Amino acid sequence: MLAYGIDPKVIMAELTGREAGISKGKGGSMHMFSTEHKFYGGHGIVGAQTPLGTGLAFAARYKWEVLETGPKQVCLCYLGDGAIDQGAFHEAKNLASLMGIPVIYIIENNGYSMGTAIHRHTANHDKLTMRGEAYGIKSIEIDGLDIRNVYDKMKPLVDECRDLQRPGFVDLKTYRYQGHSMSDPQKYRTKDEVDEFKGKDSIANLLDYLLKSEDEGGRGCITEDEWKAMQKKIKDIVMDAVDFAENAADPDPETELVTDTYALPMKNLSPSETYHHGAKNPLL
Amino acid sequence: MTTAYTPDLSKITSDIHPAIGTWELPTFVAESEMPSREGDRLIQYREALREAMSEEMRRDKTVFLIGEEVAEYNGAYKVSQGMLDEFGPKRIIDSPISENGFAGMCIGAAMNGLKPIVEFMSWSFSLVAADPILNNAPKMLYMSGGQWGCPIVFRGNDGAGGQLGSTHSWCVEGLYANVPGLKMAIPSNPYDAKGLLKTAIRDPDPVFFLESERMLGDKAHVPEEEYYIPFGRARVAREGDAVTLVSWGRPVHFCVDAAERLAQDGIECEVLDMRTIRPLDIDSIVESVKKTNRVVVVDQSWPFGGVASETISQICEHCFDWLDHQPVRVNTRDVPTPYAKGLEAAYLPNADRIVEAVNGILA
Repeated sequence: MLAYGIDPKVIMAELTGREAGISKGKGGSMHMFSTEHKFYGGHGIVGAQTPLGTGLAFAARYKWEVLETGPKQVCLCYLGDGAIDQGAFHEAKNLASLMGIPVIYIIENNGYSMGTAIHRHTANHDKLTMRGEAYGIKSIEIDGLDIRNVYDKMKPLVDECRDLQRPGFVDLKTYRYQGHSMSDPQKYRTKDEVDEFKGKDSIANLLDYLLKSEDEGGRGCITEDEWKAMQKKIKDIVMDAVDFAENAADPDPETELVTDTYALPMKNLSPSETYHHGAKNPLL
Repeated sequence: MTTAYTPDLSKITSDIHPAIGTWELPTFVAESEMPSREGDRLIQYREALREAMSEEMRRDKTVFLIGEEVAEYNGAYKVSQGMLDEFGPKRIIDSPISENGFAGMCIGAAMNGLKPIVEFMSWSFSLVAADPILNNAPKMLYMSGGQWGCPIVFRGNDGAGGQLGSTHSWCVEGLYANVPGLKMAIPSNPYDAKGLLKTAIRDPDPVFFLESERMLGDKAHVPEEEYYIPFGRARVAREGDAVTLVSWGRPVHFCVDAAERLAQDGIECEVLDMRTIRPLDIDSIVESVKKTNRVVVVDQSWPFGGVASETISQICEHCFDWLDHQPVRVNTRDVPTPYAKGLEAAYLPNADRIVEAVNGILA
């Protein structure tokens, strides 16, 4: 969401369940959306976002092809390696390939489905691209720890999928340092393994490249001082977001609890709280 | 002090629609001004559904139909017969047998400005799509804080089709009506099927539209002129003052049959066809109960925690003091749907059981 340019303040406010949050405190960490930025969620059920993403792309193609109101577009649909075993994902890939739907499934493959290592949850785990190719979908593997490499490999695929109106599949290899959630003791992996990946950290690698001169094989476009200033700036942005969220009001149950249930509310959609003989149910 | 989050509307293009966009609603008229139900333009229930979809698809190019066998096969039950010829394969779309996938896909399409009609060959098969149709469609507007709605119609055959056994005979209304955020229509005749489906397609919320395989061939007059039936308005299928029979969908016919038999004994029942159960027109039920003081609710889904139970709860909440007898419900029997013809008949609500219930109340 940050990469989409969404204000960190409204994200933090949603994480903390405030009315100023991007879903007014009704969505939470797993259900955030932005109409402004065409960010379509945020879906809580692992794998369930893949048919939805396919549908967004279906609509984009429909607008281009049937309504003739839009340009060719492409939808990027993100999922983890834990989601690739869901049936919904297989159905989505089949539909996308059959119908020529411009959606790119990007597997953020960090090697763990919560606490279950990939070799314990996915058959043929060392060749995930087979799962795209099996459906006739162009499938590539990308080392996600090298940011420039990600751009160089992704750009042609995005262009191709948009141009040909075809789906794509990316096994984007990455890692996660923290636990899956707040309550994860991380007994399923060794500290050595985590340290090994920290040694190939993608941000550290990029920084190294940007700091090094061109003679040393880098770009030499920022200095140590600029890097320090940048870190401070980021810290400030984060702290501002935390302050904003902490000082934001909780959603008001009087107004926010029942709104946004229906786009077109009507009488008697829900059991009513006031009865015909004048009594009122105090519990509704 | 902070204020509630509001997206910058100037940055939102009108094609990514729903809740925040403009929505052109049909004009509804009073029941007395609706076109007549009497006439000689007799068409089948399935044709009425087809007319509703075709008219709306001619009006609005963002509407499309997808489902198993809807296109080249001309519809597993011939509901969409001829629609492929008129609208072409980009708008009448054969899907693979993957309800979870295509239902979910259409929810995505609805979030991105289209208005899908998703045909489930049977609502029984919607169970494999339970996650998208219950978790995404009805909750999208709420959990996005009003940013994205889901204008979509799910439709198909509901209830026992006749000796199809347990897995193919689901009545899903008891399960699905429990979920807030969706609307549910269950028409009992061709006239209502057309008028309600047209309203469903124009509605900006997800609508679950429950038809019946056993009624697809039923014929009745459907007027030539365009009409829309508003949700939440019950129809008085028969007037009477002894007992109110409340139902929706196919069992409305059982109620009318029972009422006609009872009339021979001088017992005049009022039959209410609810037409939609979310919204549920409790006002019309109350009005009728105030007149009859007795009520039987007939529901072709299971009794435990079902729509009949909800209806009776609301009756007790709204007009308990007018009741001369406790409300009675007639449901399907509380077992999986059997296969054998006789067992299935004994399992479903029918006129005999309704007559028995009414006589029990009046005894």
